[in-house]
Amino acid sequence: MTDAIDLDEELLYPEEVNIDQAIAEMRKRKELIYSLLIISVFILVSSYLLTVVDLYRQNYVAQVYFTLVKASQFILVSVGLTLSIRVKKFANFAHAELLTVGLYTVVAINDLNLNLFFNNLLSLLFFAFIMGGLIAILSELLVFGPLAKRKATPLSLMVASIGVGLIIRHVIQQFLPGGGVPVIMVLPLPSFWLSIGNFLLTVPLVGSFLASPFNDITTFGIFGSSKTLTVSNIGVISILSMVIMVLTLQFLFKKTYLGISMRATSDDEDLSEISGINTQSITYWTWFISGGITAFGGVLLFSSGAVVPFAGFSQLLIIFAVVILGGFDSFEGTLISGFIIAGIQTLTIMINGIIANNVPPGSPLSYTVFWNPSADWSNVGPFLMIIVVLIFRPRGIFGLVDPGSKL
Amino acid sequence: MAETILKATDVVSGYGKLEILHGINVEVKEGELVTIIGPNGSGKSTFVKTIIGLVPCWSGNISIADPKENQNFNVTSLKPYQIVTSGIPLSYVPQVSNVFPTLTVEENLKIGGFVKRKDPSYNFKKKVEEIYDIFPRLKSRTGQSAALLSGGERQMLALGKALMSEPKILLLDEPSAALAPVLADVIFHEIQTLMKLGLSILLVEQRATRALQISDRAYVFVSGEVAHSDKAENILHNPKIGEMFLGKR
Repeated sequence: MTDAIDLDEELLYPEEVNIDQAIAEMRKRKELIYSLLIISVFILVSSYLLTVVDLYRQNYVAQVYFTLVKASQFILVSVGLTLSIRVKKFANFAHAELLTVGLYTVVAINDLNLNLFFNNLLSLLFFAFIMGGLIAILSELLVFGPLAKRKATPLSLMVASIGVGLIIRHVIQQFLPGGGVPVIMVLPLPSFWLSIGNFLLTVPLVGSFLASPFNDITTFGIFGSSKTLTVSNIGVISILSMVIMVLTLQFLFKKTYLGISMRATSDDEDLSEISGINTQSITYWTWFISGGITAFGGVLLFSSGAVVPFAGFSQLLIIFAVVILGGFDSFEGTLISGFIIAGIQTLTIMINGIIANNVPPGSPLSYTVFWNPSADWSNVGPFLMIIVVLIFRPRGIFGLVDPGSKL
Repeated sequence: MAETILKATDVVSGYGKLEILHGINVEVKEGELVTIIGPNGSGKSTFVKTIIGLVPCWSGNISIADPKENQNFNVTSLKPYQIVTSGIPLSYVPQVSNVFPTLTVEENLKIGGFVKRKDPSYNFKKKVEEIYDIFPRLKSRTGQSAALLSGGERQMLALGKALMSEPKILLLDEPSAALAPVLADVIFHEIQTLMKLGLSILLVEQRATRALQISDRAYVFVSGEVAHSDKAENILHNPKIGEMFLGKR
């Protein structure tokens, strides 16, 4: 008896997964994380030593602190993009505008001149989060949702998102306070924060390190060096919020119904529907969290300086740099590449500064310094780094898929 | 006389404007294993997808009964997640991509049980242990992501995931597709084990002979219509059908 239907079985034969190989790959991942940890400890220790010996008159401890703050802010504004890419499978160019939405939420509340509860940093950040989330949901409701229902490709969704970004930007420019003119964003600290600072001043040992209470900035001395480390409130809050955000997302994705459903929806939307997940509401939640974190991070990123409607757009490139280096849809990847990009940026500024300060004018090396010795190279380094990494690993540090297969 | 669990009457459905099913009548009784066989493109998979709501039902009626609670659900125009979340004891295992590859084995099972998360009498951990008793091979892989499973284990996980919501009737869409003959035998064996748990199963199969051997009744689909329906062994020994679909001479 022959079974005619069994004929194409050889074609359908499943590709056996080599378990040993898979385990080895997972080990490699762990090794990568450990090695990054070791590298960061090494950088911290060596920067302290460098400060002590006062090499090339740079304050290395301050630079490391600066890198940490920058990295935290980069991660806060980028992780939302990773999230939306994972679940919605397209690159949202309107992401940068969510950042602007956060900024102008704060500006608008400042303008309303509400005292008490509304006008302090924590509630401003809270309202920025809510507003960013709502605008992201709105863009899904009005544009991305209907397009996806008509079977839009990732490419057409991406182009549509550029349009969405344009609309948000110009609505802000037309209708919000300041218009196209730069406005100053005010972030007053809650009074309990100041009382913590005042309380710390009464502690004998800590008080001797604090030049000023937590009013705006706090200056610490560095052991064995004449240099000081100036820590700003916003910097500390950025680092803290980044850590809290990462832990919360980790908990969300691993333990809660919402998080696991999000991961399931990003894996396979049809199967999620069959398994009883309301993918529509999961999509809205994804947009809310993604937009919220972005607006929140935007306020911290632009905490110093004037706000313009193009503020978010100006960060689009660096956000995409962080996300692409991390592997486009990987959460851990975004985390690590945030640190890498911020580190390289600081390093570039530092090397530029060293050359500007120590190389005599007229020597060949001095031509590598641009006319502004402090910043102009700061985006060259990170992008060179990205090119190098992508040459050797086209799917990014933690990328799950080949770049050609999706998006 | 066992009660009818699934009853489809004059189901017409299709993709876009293309009509695939032209009035299908299928019935599954309590504790029965019913197989649908037929050539490629005869609408077997489409029919199962119409029941679960992935393909819209144009006309006709599909109802599912819960004999224990004496309830009768009309699922004709419900969306997939509505069917699963409203407590209708129905689970569907698709043909391909039936597990979430980046989730671990346990998380996959968890998703299967999410529907019951508001039911106080439902014990998730106990249910997972039950599944591991049925499929012992999954237990050693609890923390691994489903992408690392072999083809057979993946099918087992898909079955386990479907069982997590405590269904009365299972819709299996070609569970042996893309499996080696040995593994397919394992899966058929598992299906027989499931029958002993008191489930009713509607099975769509390409390996007709093997499926008919374990089934109670069978339907033969030809180009979107039920060409023949009878007891499984009668179909197995029907010379005409054997010649047409089972490759016998």
